[in-house]
Amino acid sequence: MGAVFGLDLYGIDVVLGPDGPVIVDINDFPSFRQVPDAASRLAGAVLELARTGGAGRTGVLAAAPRVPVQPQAARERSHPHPVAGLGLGIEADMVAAVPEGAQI
Amino acid sequence: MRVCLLTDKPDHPLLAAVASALAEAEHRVTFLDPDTGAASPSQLVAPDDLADVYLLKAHTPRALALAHFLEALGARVVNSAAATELCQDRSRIAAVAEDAGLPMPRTRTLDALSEALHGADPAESGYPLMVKSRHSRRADLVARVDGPDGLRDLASKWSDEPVVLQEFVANSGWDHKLWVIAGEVFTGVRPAPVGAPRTARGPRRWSATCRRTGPGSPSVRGTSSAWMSTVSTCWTARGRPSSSTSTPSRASAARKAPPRRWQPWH
Repeated sequence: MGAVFGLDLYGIDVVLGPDGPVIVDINDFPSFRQVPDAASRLAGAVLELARTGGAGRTGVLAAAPRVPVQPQAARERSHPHPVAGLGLGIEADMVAAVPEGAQI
Repeated sequence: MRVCLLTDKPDHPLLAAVASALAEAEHRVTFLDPDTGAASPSQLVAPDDLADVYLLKAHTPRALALAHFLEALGARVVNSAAATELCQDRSRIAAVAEDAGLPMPRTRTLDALSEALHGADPAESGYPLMVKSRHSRRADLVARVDGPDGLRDLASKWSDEPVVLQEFVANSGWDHKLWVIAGEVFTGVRPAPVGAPRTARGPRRWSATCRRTGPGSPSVRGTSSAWMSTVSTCWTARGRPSSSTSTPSRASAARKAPPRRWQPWH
């Protein structure tokens, strides 16, 4: 998918139809609100993509190292912009987030 | 490393947290609003003083113009200007997906929804059908239409809207969400905002689905890249021409191809 659309950071909506999965929407750079540690992962990904290139390269991507996110209080001291919590559950209708396979 | 975030929303919680994390790791982070000022977007940057990477979180014409300009100067933009631009156009998305053999609903493009009221029946594959704004944006049009009356009602409100008409895919009423961060895949589910009634029982998790793989299939357990390749395997089209086979044009393929059947998993 990423290679086809040239995307490094994206979201896909899929429904399971009678003949299998069907893609019904693609979003570049979604909010990633449901992704655990999204800020840390994104920061690491940005650095990695800057170093290595992105969707245009061939081969299988490996997960980028994360950049630690400081606790909330430290972030507020060090950054001029207010930082809201990034915890899960912002969308109450989300019934499952399944990162276990991806985080190994 | 110098990282510049192209956005008009520096207070966006995710962007602010990313910037903070990078700054804590002693990278230099700046924000640039592509829609600032009246000057050409190209005048917003100094060609001899570029960041190492630009994170593009904006979709306006000026933002895309700036991203293209930066890339022309050799800067790295994530996501690229072309990819970001592509994702704003549902008609182009459908065309690219079809060319790549990815399963998307059959899609037809109209320059204005009012065209649906004239000429041949717009619902070639019958009702219901999905009507969506061709160009993605906040508060755009995404609606399920169940018959000609519904289409007329919608066209009266969105007469001049460029749209795509897509066949409605019967489904369980759940949207399966996949998020990808540089090759690392996360999944979740939510009730579909528009579409079919939901099944009473929640959907299977993708991980459980992809674990139902046969001998020789990539394992879910392992690295994130294995997870990614498993998901990719889910979307292999049956009978898709090999790379050495000439691929018919989209128009001729639409005429000749039997209904698509996708092999969801092995």
